[in-house]
Amino acid sequence: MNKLLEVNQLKTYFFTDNGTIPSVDGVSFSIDKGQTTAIVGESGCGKSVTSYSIMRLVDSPGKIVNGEVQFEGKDLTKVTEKEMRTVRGNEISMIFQEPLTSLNPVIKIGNQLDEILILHQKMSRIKAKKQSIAMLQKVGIPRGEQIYRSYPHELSGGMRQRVMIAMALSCNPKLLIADEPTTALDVTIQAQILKLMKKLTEDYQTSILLITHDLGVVAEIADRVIVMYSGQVVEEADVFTLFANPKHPYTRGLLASTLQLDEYKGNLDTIQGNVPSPSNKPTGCYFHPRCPVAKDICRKEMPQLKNLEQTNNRVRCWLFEDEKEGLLHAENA
Amino acid sequence: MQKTLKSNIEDDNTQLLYLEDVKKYFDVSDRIFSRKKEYLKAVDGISLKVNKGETLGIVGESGCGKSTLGNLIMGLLKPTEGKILLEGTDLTTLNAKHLKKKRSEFQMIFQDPFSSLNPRMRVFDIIAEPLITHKIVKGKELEQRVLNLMEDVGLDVSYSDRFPHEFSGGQRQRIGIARALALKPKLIVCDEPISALDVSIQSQILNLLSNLQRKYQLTYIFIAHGLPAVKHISNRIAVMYLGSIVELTTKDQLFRNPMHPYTRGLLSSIPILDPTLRGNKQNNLIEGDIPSPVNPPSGCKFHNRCPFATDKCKEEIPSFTEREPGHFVSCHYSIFDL
Repeated sequence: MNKLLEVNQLKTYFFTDNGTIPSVDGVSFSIDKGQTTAIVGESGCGKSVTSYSIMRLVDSPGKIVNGEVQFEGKDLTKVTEKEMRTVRGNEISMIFQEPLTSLNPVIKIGNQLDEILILHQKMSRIKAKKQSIAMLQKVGIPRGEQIYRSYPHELSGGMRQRVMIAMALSCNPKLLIADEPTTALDVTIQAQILKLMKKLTEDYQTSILLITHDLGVVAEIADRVIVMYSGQVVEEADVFTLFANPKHPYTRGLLASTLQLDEYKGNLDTIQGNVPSPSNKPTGCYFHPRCPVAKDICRKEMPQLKNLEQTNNRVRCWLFEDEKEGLLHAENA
Repeated sequence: MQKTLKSNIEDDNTQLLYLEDVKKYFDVSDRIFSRKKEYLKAVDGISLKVNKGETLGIVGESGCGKSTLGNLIMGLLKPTEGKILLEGTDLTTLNAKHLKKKRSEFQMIFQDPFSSLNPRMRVFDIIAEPLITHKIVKGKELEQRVLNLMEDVGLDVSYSDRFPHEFSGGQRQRIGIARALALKPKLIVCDEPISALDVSIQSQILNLLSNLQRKYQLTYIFIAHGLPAVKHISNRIAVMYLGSIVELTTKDQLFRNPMHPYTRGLLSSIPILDPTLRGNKQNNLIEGDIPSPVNPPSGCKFHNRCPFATDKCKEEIPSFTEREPGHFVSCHYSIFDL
């Protein structure tokens, strides 16, 4: 068994004045050692809340109501807050979308980097400084000594994200959760950061859980892909299968509507309608109001997430309930 | 700017908008301690023309001045230097009263559909406001006009007395488009109209914009940082870098034969939706960060990130020359020599 993290039937609900919102609604998946797993989906699909739940960073009124998060023989939903603090930053670390808001604006970059090493690795200040500057060089920041003495606002967006990556990797974590790490960056900088993440995780043998809405980024660095819609996993596959042969109508729609540099004739492919509001989900399959191939049963009953024959790829769709019929449908579509 | 471009422009009746050497400098000098004047050159000498019925795409990374350019065209900012002519009228010389009158001919769609709609106004009033301000129609006719506009942009007319917060991002962007259309403008400046939207909604809005253009013979200036969207909707594309246009040509030429090293780098930075091709384009990546527009590099502003830069690039500013018909590039070298 090479599993590093196993999420089982995770449910995170938000209890608001206007009712309960099931942001994450029974999500299960696992991450292997050294693997890059991507969770893709649109806004409100629960991809970020899933990652926050793994780190136990969900604030009130949100609460993990069910499920377990197995990491190195521990269930992270059950361990004490003190134990959790040694896991965060040390064994699982996280980088966020907007590096400016996740760095402390009044503390120098160097001190913020040192703090982690002093806290988790019990290093001395002098040793921590040496290690921090080495980390800055590893993430491709020239003049590490000078940046060590800078404040976050003095750096560009790409540099700040490099600093965040240096911080996240400084304790050599086993899992790095990257929540939209390149969304706020320009394309030329995004390409640099993706290249860097790929290289570092190979060097350090770190597993990555990448949260993103951008299928292009997924195609660049992921090994496995989980597609989420309205709080549920609708499809899971290895990256090559997902892009070559997407099964779920939502995945197909998402791929078709992602803009590419190809020539388009006439109108672009779209998924009709809007993402359903999490407090007012449709009956049956959550995707059926937008699905071009919805049948009667889709309106009434929720399909199960089923393994496809002889693979560990999974799909949640009535079309694949009877697999032969489903594949036939996929070919016709 | 070149004589070639200028003379082209003067004997051309099809043009709607013409910009001549437009500059916008923002004063960022330290007022208390420093006597030295420092300027942020957001737009640094841009000349271009936009033809009737076409879509001109403007792409570039953050800080390249593309939004400032959009605001200058809209008359929301006064240029430091240069002329902006809309059908022969110089917008920069108009006073507030005349500018307001002229504004009915050019409208804007904004990036963020959450902050560009007044949260305390109903959809009906948001779309009707320009028609009332410009005293176009009133009464029953106004009502009919607004409902028609809502239908045009694909909004359910029964939602007309709802507030913006009751709509999703894509629907809000439709409200913004209806408001821009209300005065039957000739030109619409779209400033990143889809970048705040979800992937599945982006294509819906792009389709809507193309259909409306066909229906009402609109001219668009489409400002965005995402090349795929710009490619889909534009006839011609201008690539901006640090306040200047580095390449301007038709869509086909830009993608078939990109001539500026920056354009080439930008094209290869776009992730491809095919994991089997990953890593293929890594060699063309642009290194380094975008320099600050307050203190841009000397000579060619791109020289510090350009893989082909020579000493000449560090000293001389390249001119914006026509390499093939309609294809303007600002580089000392031909890409084939590099």
